[in-house]
Amino acid sequence: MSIDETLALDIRGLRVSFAGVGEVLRGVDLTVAPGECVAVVGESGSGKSVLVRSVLGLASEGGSTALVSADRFTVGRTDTRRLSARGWRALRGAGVGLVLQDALASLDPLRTIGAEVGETLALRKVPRAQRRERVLRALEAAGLDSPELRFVQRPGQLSGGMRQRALIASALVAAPPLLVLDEPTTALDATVAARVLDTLAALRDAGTALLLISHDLAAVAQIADRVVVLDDGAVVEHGPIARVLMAPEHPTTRRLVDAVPHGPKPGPAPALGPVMLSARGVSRTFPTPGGGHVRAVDNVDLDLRRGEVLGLVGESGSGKTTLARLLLAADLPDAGDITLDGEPWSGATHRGRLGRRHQVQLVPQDPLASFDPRFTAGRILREALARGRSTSSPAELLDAVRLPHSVLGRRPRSLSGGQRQRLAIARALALEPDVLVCDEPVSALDVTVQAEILDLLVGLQRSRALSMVFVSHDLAVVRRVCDTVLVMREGRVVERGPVEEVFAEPQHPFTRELLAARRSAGPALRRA
Amino acid sequence: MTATTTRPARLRALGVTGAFALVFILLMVVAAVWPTLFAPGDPDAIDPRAAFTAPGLAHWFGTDESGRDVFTRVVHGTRQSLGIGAAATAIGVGLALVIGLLAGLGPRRLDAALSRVIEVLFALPSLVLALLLVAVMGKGVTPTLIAVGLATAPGYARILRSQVRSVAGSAYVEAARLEGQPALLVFGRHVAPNTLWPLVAIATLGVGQAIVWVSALSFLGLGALPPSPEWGAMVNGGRVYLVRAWWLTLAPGLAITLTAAALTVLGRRLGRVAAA
Repeated sequence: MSIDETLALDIRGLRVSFAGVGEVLRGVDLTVAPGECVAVVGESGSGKSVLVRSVLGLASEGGSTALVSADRFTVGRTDTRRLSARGWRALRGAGVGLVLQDALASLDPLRTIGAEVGETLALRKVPRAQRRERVLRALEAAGLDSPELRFVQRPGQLSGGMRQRALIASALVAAPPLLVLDEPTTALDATVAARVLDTLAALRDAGTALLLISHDLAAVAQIADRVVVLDDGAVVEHGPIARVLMAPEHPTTRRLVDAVPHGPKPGPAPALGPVMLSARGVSRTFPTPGGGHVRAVDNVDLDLRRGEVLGLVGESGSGKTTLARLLLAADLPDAGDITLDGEPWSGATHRGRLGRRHQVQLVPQDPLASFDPRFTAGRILREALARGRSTSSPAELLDAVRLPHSVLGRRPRSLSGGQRQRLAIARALALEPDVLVCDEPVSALDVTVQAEILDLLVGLQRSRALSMVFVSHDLAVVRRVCDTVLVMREGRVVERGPVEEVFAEPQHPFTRELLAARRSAGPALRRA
Repeated sequence: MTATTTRPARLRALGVTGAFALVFILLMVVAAVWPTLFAPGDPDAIDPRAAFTAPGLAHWFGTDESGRDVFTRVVHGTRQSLGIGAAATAIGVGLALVIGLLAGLGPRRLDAALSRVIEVLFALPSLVLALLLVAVMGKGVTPTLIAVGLATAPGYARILRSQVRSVAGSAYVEAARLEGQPALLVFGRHVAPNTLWPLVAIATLGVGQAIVWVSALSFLGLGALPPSPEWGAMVNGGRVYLVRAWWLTLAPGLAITLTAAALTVLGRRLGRVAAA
């Protein structure tokens, strides 16, 4: 094994351990060549984040001091094993750039995009005039339109996708030969994510080495050349992307690949009952800061039958969450009418709704925020049971969502993301609802956990003949779970119909665009 | 079961400094309730022959111009100083509860009106406000503590208002509403506990501050009057003899400082425990 001077990143036998935790990375080998994209995939807890931080020399930033050792650890031509803190600072930005997942939290809201992106250059004493030039070029390379305008804008004025690209620009601006991307598309809509991935692919083709950390195999399949599967701090499988995805050898890889939602909803078509929830001409308008108004939901009709799962898809800002809140009567429409079980729902009095609230329950996107921080899981379930007509016990509810009884005495904060979502589902079931409104219930979860929660939801929906409204930006998830689908754009329903029909023959151009963004996910994931 | 698992964790979250502060405050409370336990003597017993005795074994903190034992007086003054501080804070927090809850949960116009009132009160320095109120109501202990209470109320009210609003707008309160819990139940189970616990920590900080203010007013001769062993009044009384008998000022001054410091440390730690 000769030292390969041409590699952008060369790591052999990387070990990272934390006091009190033990070894988190147990001898990881990883190389990235210029113009190559290597993906690191794994479930949460596999050591992905520690690997990212280590590559940037930030392993100890997580709070506790890390013990890092490696047989070889070079970034470009720099041997980082004996690098001082000062040396690392010089390397970061110029030698290796980082793109984080959360674009909103990673950009200073008070500074312009120009100042934020140019900071790396300012720190390296690049003259102001030259800096502006390079920032504009980086913004363009990151795929942002009208860079001159973006230069003077602040993060709050940009959409999520633009912010993510601004972050990519700030990682690019000093032209580092290696770019580390930590879940760069997880928080983005399908169409936006597709565009960001295109940008990254262009960078890779221009010679930048990319190290992509993700749990989204669909995203990985689009741009990665090689993939490294991490499990419990060790590499369990690595190879060319097509080979690993088509013929996974290790059980962990197989689990990850199988968990990617694909194909139609399994099982027989549901026996539909009478209409449970019905909306006619429903609109909801919000005032905007400028004094104007925005129609979040615009003249929507929908019928949800007993036993039906209705998907609401669209990009962020399309009004799907507002519509879900109207169906929950968490918010009331300005125009139109919603009926529940044939009786007035949005038109009922406050008191009239109170007694029927148990019929429509929410499974939220962020379950942790929906639990009182002082309550244990047991108390959360007991409170919910006191509201409903259910005669089951908290333990029986936990059985229904396949959580161990030991969870009862614990607070939600100490549970994992998947367990929290199971608890939220158990709480909703405690009220014996007729309709379950799920607002992006799996978008914050790892792909394997996501698959488990989706299975659980579909199983419960079938066994209890529940009706379900399923809000999601992920078309593959919607196809897996829903019977019918509404495609929303700018508050309006642009397409509706049985899921398989809409997927096979999309009528509206927007639906086609959404589906195209997903289809480019790579041939490996299109089988089935 | 949960109580037994969380309580030691909470105590540990206090830390060593917090535990020291807690023990100190508990000692102060004991001194306030049962002063003769620490100082069996009479705080007002004069002994002209022993006037201006320096601190020593017989008189730990020395004696004053009338030969009264300063240690005994400081211990017996605890009840008044601590009591006034606590009472003033209670008035402030009580008033803030009304204003803060009304502003936080009431209709928008009421919130706007109350918030403006809070802002106007904020524009005046609290001690100046207290001075003004004492000037209107006259000297004495009761006006002092009412004045300090009123002067601290806007601060608590503002904290409470924003806390109430954030809790009332939280996802877990909405979740409870969507379960069909009546508004009063939601308030009692979720809004009140999650609002009031952080306030306990802040109020603990506030008692220390109130003690300093009440002492300041007494020092200015507006609060407790000289024979009474209130700490501020004692500092004031010792001022004349500062060069000749420094201990007359130092002992009560130290008592004020240490109590305020201990309450501040405890308040900050409690804030962390409440957040945990």
